[in-house]
Amino acid sequence: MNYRAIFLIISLVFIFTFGFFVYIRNRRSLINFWYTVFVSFLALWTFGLLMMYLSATAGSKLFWANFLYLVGSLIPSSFFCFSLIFPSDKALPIRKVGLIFLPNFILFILYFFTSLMIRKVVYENGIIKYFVYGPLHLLFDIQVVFFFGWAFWNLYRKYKVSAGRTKMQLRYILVATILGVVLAGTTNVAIPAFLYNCSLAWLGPSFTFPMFSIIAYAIVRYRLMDINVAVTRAGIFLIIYALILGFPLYVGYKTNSWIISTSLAIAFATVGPFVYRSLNRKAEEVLLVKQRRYQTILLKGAKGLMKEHRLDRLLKWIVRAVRKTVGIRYVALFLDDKKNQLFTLKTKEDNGEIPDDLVFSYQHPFIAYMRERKGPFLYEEIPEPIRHSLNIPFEVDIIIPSFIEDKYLGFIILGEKLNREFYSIDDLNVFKILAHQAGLAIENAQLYSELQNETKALKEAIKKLNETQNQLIQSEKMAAVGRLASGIAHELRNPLSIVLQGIEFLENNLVGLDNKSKKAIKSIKNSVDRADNIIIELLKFSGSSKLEFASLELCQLMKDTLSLVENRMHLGRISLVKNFPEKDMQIHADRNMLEQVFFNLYSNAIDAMSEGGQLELNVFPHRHDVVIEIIDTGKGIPTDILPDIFDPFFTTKDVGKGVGLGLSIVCLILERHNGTINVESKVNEGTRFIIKLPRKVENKKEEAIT
Amino acid sequence: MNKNKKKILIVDDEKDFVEMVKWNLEKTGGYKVTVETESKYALDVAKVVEPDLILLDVMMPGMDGADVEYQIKKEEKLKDIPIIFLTAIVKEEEIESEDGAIAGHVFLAKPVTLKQLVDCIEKNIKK
Repeated sequence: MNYRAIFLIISLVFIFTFGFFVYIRNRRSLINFWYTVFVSFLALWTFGLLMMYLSATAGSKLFWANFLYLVGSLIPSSFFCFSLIFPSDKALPIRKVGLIFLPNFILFILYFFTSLMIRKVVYENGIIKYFVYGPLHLLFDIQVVFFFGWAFWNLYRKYKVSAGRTKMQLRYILVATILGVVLAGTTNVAIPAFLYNCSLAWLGPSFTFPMFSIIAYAIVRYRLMDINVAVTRAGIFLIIYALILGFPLYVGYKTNSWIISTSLAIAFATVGPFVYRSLNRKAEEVLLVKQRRYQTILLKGAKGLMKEHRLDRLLKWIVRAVRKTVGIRYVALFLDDKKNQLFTLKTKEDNGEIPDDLVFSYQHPFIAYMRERKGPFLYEEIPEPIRHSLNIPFEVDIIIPSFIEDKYLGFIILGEKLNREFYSIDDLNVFKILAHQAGLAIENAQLYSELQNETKALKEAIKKLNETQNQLIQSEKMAAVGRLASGIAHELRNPLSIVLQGIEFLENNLVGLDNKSKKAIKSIKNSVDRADNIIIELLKFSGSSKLEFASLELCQLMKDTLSLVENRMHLGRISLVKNFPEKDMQIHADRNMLEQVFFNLYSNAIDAMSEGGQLELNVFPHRHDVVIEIIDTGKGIPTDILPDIFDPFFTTKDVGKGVGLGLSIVCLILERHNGTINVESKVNEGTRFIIKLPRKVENKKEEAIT
Repeated sequence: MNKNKKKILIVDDEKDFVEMVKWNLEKTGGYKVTVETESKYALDVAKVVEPDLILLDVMMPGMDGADVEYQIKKEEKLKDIPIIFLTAIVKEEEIESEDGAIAGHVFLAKPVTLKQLVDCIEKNIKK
């Protein structure tokens, strides 16, 4: 046993593990397949070296030397195949593969059935010194250089024309190829070929570590770590296992006791993984400070998501947090739109590369693929036909679907990191947790907003019901009063007529009346007048009079009516503020009726401002209506009677000053104009009447617009 | 009795009212007033009296003012007699707006003052 053999065993295990690992990552991928073929030949080559060192006789050493070179020739051939299918992942025709491996077949015959390649292996104390080569051995070197060269050229050409991530992957592969070929090529091809010295060949396999590990990283990078992490992990792994395997062997070698060495090996192998893991964690903590930091921030943030009930803000927060903390070119969030059977872009943070109207139907293969995957995955992992069907004008790096149990809520897509680093498996794990938390929060928010909408709708319905009920009650009251009014008018007017005729008769018939009698007669006549006025009001209220609709200029009409109360305003020290639109508002209405409305409201306002104040008139359009506000700074209406002010016969004025029909009539007139009136009031601050009347539509064209 | 006095016929179911109007009109000295409180006899009375003007209540039990007018207008002898309708329902502004006439009919709203009544009679009576 010697250190060379130990080193080779370690290399063999390592290389084999690597190849196997990459293959099982994605068995469907031809890139991974050819990579594994390539690495397997590396492993076989290492195995050949090992066997050559371990074999005792000259004959077996020669056999393993031939084996070694044959397998050595298969390494560039398989790498060449890899270079052809990367990154397209398209299958190679069998004939082409056959053609590529034809030289290996020729070499196989030459190595094993002739002595034209290696004549002799020269060794001393079991240690290989050099080979004695046959005349055709240069063919091996030509084959190696040719295929490696061509493979390198293939990759370089693709590197030149590619962009983005693929370019980055190719850069890694090229660097790795140069490293591996130069290092291993020197020890195992160039030195033995030109210097007839094999003393360094045992180093060759370990010199390929950087090459295949970096390539592995490049093709399955998202399942590995950062390149420095990958290298560190590999290094720690190597050191630990070199110790586990090497130390017992060394002890065994020294003590010549296989029992001690085996027990040591078993003991070390048991602790090995734990040591490896703890060292690994420590190393990563140092290497990935930055990554850990944003991962912690995101996880902390995810916990706080449930507190946000407003969906819009929640989504915005998720997108912004991911983008800002990780440093990503863009982040876009899609949510399930059940109504349209789509996934629609809800919110995004980008530099304008994502179209606003991006949607994916339920039937889209991409959506189906996501349902299958559930966890976060890389764009590269999407099978080619689905990737093709995506047809999006921007580059996606990561897709994070969000599921709550089996309910598919939506997904987030991420662009590349701003520092152009690759996403790590830890990133994906963090995104997975974040997606789950976000999913719960989104569902929560959706339920909350649904609940709120329902509550709001319910409240509105109740409010509307109440309003309708009030209106019904109001109009029923009005109708009842109207019917009553005509009846009462007839019944009252006849006796009033008799009183009037009677008193006039008395007035004319009695001679020499004293002043008191004259005054009594006058009072009776005035009372008849007053009673009759009430009846007139009632009759107006009964609404039997016809409306004469005409096109009117509202503001002009309001100004005209104002002139009727000007004097009272002046006397009452009431100032006027008018906010009328520049262009007068056209309405379709009965002039007399509206004059009555405004006169009533002006009068009420003036009455309310017995100690002076300000009357404000505002007119402005609102949708199809015109809104009129009549605001006074008077004594206001107490809240408890506010609902009653439009009721017939409701009055706060002293007996004899008002019948209590003014506002009822106003209400009735506005109703007949398809208008409404509302009131807001605060005691000692004033009252605001808000009237809405439909605006007159001037022509059909305008109607179409509004 | 003065022959120059105009003959007025009042048809109204309100007994007290017609009486007061009769007294008031006759007091002016210009009118000879006949009253009838049952509308169904109005035509017969009119035929006998041949008034210069009729004051006719609109709303009466049995035959209303319109029915009475219809009968009177049918009579060749009576059809040219001006009629003033008295009503407790029609509103003041309607009467004023059409110069006291609605669809060719003259209305007076109750309660009516003596002056209004005389003015209206003088305006409509046959000269």
